[in-house]
Amino acid sequence: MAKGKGKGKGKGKDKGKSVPNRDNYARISYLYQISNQFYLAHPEYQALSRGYNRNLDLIAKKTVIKLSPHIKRTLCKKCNTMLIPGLTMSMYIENLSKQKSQHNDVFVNKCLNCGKCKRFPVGKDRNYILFTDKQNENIPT
Amino acid sequence: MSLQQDTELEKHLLSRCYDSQSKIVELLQDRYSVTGSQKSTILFKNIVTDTKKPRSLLHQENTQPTKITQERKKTTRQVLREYISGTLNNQRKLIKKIQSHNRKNTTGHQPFPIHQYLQKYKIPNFDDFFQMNKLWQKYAQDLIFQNGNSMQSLSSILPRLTAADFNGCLLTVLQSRNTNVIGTRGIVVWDAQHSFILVVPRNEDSKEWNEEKSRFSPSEMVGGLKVIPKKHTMFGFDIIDPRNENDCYGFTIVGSRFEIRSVERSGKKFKNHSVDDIL
Repeated sequence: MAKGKGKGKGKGKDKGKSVPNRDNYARISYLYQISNQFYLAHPEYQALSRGYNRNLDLIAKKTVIKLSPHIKRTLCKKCNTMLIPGLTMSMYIENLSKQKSQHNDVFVNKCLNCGKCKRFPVGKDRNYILFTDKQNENIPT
Repeated sequence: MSLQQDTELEKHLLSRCYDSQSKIVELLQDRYSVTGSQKSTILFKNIVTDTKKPRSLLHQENTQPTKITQERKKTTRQVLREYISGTLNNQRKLIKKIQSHNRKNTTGHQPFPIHQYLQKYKIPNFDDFFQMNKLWQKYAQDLIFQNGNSMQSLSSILPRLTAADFNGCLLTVLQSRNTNVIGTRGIVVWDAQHSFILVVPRNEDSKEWNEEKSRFSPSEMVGGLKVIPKKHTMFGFDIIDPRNENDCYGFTIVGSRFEIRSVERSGKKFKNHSVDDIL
């Protein structure tokens, strides 16, 4: 689980340096943890979990914090539900072209609560790496 | 002969309204026929019904009306508000049931079957939120005891606490104009703009001076959610010292100065105001 990955991302090498907006990163990480804990342990409080996710999204927008795509992909954009594969999200490969060619493959993540689909055209570049993951690769350890 | 005389009058009148003779004959046939429709009225006005208005060339019929699905009508704020108000309604129903049971059962010692009703009405349980409070304590300790074990100075702690998140904090009402809420303690489940929504424990844990009691009021038996207004109220909370588990630091929140949305507090600077109506 990509918990708190937006916190101090790309600045792991100099740990003594103070991270700007550290309090806001801590708050976002905390809201992510409690909403995830509620969804898994107590699914009857789903409305509260969605409320915390909405607060997370609003705080990130208000304080202009760049969240990691790993976190953004686990939150539904429309209904703020925690997207858990098999529980609140279904994943499948879709190909709408006539020739069914490989470069038209689209990886679809569908929220089972509101029906919103996240579409990733994985067929175009099968070796695509996210920008944040590229940053991790380039750091010599 | 007499029939013709009658139709002469109508024919004379209809010739003023209609241009064609065949239309007049048709109308008279409809009215005075033996086996036909036998209309009871004659229209003395030429009404044309078939012509259509000339439309603009750019006019297009909207043949596919867009339907707003049910999911789009349910936003997150709406669902949360419905959940809170539904839970408060269920708590009110259960309190009325307990009061009715106490009224009938004055002489007997039959206790109210509280646990099955709590499950039936899905009243939130305080123990479900205990893990959330543990997470909040770690989060608050990180804010105050940053980068190790030394405590920060007070001038750097307080701006962080004002911007902190209070969902999960164990709050106690210390002072209030509304004396009924004094002593109430619970874990914050939602930090609204003008109120804190707490989940309160049941029976002997509900207030500090209830720990030696044996009889409790119906609302203390139920627990669940409580909405405490922030205005004219002072709240208190403790943060446990990570160096020594028995020590803790107490802080208070003046609720009248805290009526800001929790999201907007992250960029807000608190300034001095007048102290007239503070409590």
